[in-house]
Amino acid sequence: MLFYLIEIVTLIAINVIFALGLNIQFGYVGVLNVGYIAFVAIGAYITAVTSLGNTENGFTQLYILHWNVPWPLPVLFGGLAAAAVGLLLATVTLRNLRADYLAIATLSLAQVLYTIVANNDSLFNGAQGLAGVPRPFDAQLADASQEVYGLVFLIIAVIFAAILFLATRQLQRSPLGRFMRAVREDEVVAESFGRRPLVARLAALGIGCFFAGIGGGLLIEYQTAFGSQAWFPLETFIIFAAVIVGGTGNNLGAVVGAAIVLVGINESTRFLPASIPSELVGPGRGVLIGVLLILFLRFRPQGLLPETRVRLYGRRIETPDNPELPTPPQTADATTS
Amino acid sequence: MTSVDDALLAVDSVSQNFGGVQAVRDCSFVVRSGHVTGLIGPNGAGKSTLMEIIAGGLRPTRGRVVLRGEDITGKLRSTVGRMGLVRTFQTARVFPRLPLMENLLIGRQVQRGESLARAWLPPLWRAQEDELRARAEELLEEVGLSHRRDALGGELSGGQMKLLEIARALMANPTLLLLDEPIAGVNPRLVDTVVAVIERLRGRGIEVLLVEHNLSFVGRVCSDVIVMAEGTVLAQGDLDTVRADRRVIDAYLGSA
Ligand SMILES: Nc1ncnc2c1ncn2[C@@H]1O[C@H](COP(=O)(O)OP(=O)(O)OP(=O)(O)O)[C@@H](O)[C@H]1O
Ligand SMILES: [Mg+2]
Repeated sequence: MLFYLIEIVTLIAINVIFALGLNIQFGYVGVLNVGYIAFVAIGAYITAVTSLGNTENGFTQLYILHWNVPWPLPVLFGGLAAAAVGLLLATVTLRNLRADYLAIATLSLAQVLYTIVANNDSLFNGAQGLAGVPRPFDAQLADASQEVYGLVFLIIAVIFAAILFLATRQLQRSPLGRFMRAVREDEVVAESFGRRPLVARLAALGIGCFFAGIGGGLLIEYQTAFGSQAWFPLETFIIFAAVIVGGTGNNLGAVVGAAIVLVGINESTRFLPASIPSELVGPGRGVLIGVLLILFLRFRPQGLLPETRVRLYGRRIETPDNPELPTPPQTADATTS
Repeated sequence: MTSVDDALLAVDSVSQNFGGVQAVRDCSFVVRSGHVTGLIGPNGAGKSTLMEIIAGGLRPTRGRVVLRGEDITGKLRSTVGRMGLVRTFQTARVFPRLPLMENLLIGRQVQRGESLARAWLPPLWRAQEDELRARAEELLEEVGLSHRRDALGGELSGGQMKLLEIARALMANPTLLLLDEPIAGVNPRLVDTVVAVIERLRGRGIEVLLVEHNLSFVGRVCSDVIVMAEGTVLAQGDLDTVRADRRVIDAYLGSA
């Protein structure tokens, strides 16, 4: 039981990182990165190929780089690689990164990467993916029991999630965060005041993809394996569901959303009565998340924890339940009446 | 007559076509320093279109816009904004889900804490932030919105939004302020506030070009008036002079 609890909290911590990163893109600036899961995958694969070295850990698999850099560098490389790909995509798509263009570009990118990785054994061992990825402090904790190791990894994951959570909060309270919100609300006005909306969008894209990559790196280290089935492009929408249910634009909301949608719903299916055929469980989960998403968008679009304002004069201003106010991210177009 | 290159702002033979519609046609005028200039004319005369062109939102089909001797035709909005030319919109555009304070703070263009490297390190920007907040408080007071400080932009009334826009523009410390119908929808009591705000700008060296239909307001604040109709300039001068102009009477004021 305790072991199970440790596992749940570890998964929540990793998924919180995913939700925080997507929230920076979607919730703060209104950048619609529909291929988010691909950046998780980039982080995971790069972490693997920069830590596996030549050992192969008893598996026969093909992959690039064969580096073996000390932890936590592989995870950081994963984050940086994801951010780099995100920024590269942004510079190629240009067009001011308006929500609609970027959505198409990111979806295509995810699809293309997915196809390339799954069909190219020499990159990351094809569809089967990589296994035997070294876990942090493997050598030092070689004799530890599964529980003790689980606890160590839990602490690592929570530390990562906490650092990224605090960084996100600091970003939100900074003038850069305000600039991002302004671009989300009305980019024409932001431009009139000397800002270039592209800058805010690039920043959010880079930071969010970095988070995705870090989360992906931790995920592959935790599971020690990761393959194509883990990042089917549609998985992105489950992270979107987590952000929306938790509360778009709210960092605590991202935590709550990750716990409920990403981990809670997945785990709850473990306790289904055995009479339910297992081939119904996966699709059932998807239906459940879809229904939840529709209900929230219809009845509580601001999510469980609405976007709280940056503290002004020492107190918060909550978003009132005012249906007249547009919900974020109503991007981007010049909406003159 | 001031020449195009000496003027504060010169609009030189500007035309703007929207498909078949010619919203602005061969329009030329000069905005002189030291005046609050009013741009008046009937609905659809092309006033707002011209504002948009000046502020960099539109590249005119023909002609050029010169700001203090520098050609700014077709420059980006953000570039024009950074040159100190700041505007409000005919239909007020506030940030609906941001509190008034944040609405105002966006007004200041160069902020240390907006850089990706510094954002995470508050000590590097806190001093400027405190200064900006104090300034924003003053401006809220000045336009009579202090009592709504905790509201979100989208919760204001239409008239309050116009006042907030003016305050936000002033946060920028502009050198030239474009106001598109600043008192449309503003309660008559607060119109005096707007007049006072504009009058104070003179002393601070902030020039103003404003569009307005309310001629008594124009008479109170503007020392130079440009009349437009059908996309071109009919007359320029002080209000009484242009009011007496035959063509202005025919096109805009209607004969009594
Ligand atoms: N984006 C556009 N596309 C097509 N036509 C436009 C566009 N913008 C303005 N127009 C047309 O250009 C003409 C001038 O419009 P403009 O808004 O500049 O007038 P205005 O002088 O500001 O009028 P008002 O006093 O009613 O605000 C109008 O006929 C309008 O329909
Ligand atoms: Mg107009």
